[in-house]
Amino acid sequence: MTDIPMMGGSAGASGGAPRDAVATFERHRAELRASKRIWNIVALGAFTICLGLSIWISQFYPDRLASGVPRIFEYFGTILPDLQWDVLFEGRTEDGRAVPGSLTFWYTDFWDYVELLWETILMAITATLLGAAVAFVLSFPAAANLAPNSWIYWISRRFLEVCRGIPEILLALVFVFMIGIGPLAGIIAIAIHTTGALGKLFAEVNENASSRPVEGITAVGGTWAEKMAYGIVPQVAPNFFSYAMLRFEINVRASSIIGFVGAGGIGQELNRVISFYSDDRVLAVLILVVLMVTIIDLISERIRLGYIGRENF
Amino acid sequence: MSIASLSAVTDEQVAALRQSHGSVWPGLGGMLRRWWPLLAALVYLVWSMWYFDFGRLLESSERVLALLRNFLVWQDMGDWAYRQIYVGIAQTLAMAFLGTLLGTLGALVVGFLAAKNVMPLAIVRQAVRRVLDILRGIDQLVWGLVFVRAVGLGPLAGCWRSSSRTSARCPSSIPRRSRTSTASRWRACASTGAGPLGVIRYGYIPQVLAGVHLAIAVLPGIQHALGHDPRHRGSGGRRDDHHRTLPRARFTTRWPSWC
Repeated sequence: MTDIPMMGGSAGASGGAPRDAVATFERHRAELRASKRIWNIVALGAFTICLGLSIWISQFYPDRLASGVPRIFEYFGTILPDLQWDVLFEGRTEDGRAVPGSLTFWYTDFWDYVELLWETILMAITATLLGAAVAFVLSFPAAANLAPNSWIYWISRRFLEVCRGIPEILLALVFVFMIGIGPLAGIIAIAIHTTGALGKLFAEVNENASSRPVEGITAVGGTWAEKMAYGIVPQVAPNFFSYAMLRFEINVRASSIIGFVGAGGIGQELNRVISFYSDDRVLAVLILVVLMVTIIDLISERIRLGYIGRENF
Repeated sequence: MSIASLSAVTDEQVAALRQSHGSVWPGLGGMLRRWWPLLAALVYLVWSMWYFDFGRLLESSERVLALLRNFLVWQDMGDWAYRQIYVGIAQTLAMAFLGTLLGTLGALVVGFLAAKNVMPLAIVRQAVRRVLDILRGIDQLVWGLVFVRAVGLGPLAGCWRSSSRTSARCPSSIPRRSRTSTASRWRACASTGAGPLGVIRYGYIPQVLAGVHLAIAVLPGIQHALGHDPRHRGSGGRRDDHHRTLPRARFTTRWPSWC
């Protein structure tokens, strides 16, 4: 019986061994708990300090909040249009003036908005195509298992990081300085950011691709480009497409606000109406932007699901 | 050397094979059917390059070079407003921190209202989701402007903006993830005998807390860059009347002389 002390809990002579094991376990557990407690206290202290500092820096004080919260709702009150039910659907009068209180009056510049929305969507499409093309090319050297050598891997990875590290609106600001006001600056900014974001996603897809087709092409003497084109691309193309569509949805949002810095699209108009205190127009534009984003999200979701199948989500 | 083993097949035989198995080697129509999306994308790109005037890139290359040179060649470093830069960085970090914290707290409350397996009432769930859709649909920059009106210029508005964004984003990821990756953790927690709150604490929260919002918080600075008079920079919105002066001040952006 003494050979298996763990089982002999009640055996008087051999009782020392199990108690030792229990004691060791308990001691170890106590140590772990103590060190965890210390770390918890340290983390809590750091958290409190950070919280205090950020409250102090950003002046996040209750009295400012208390005076600010009502003003948010106040602002939402001011951007509501002054619609009157009896003239709601009145058209323009003979001299071409819209009746105040009617929908026509509220959406006087409707066709300007539509034109800008169209431009916004085109900006998003162009930027997504450009960005996806560069990301496609760079995703192969940026995948750890496919890169021809570590230098190229390192450079392309860092390049993609730089591209997606800078928020697109900052890029747009710089490009507006460089090439002037207009949608071109916005497109380039969004395209650069898209390159970084999509490149990383594409590279991760590539890293998960099966290496067997690549080995097969290696065996028949294919070059690196052929390995990528015939071994990897057919495996990853559906995923690439799905990610690009997802990015397109994000880019529509991005291009709808990038006009705030003068880079084209509906954001320019939004910025203008907010700046000129055309308060009811703010809501008019916002409604259109939300509608556009929602519709494009729905369509793109349909396309993605139809293309790569529901089971992949 | 791999070619040598194939030399037994002559060109005529290959041509004959192509004739007899036409479907394997697609003709022009087949190629078109296969590659038309790419072709369409290419045509669209060329058209949009014309539409958006890509030629301006070349025209303005001198200006671009001048700006790039100014990026790299730093002049009058003694006169730079270092204090404002450091204050700006501190504000960015503070906004990221507070925005993420508040947003996550908000998202935790709202998110479970929108999750199918937590909120059984479909009406509440759908209503919460539609509100979140609107919060997300309107970009944070717009929210920033609204908050600037409300609480005055400064990082506080940025905080709110980041938090509104976080609370709008996270909840949608809770129900979405609960169907896929979280479901296994969820079951694991439940199998250890945890109650509903325990499942939420150990099954959901670790996923919700993930995410760094530093990059998001960089954006509020745009309002500073665009919006306000350099003299007021760093005053951090202490003067409450700033929210009235902002829109006009936005046009005082100092463009470089060569612009």
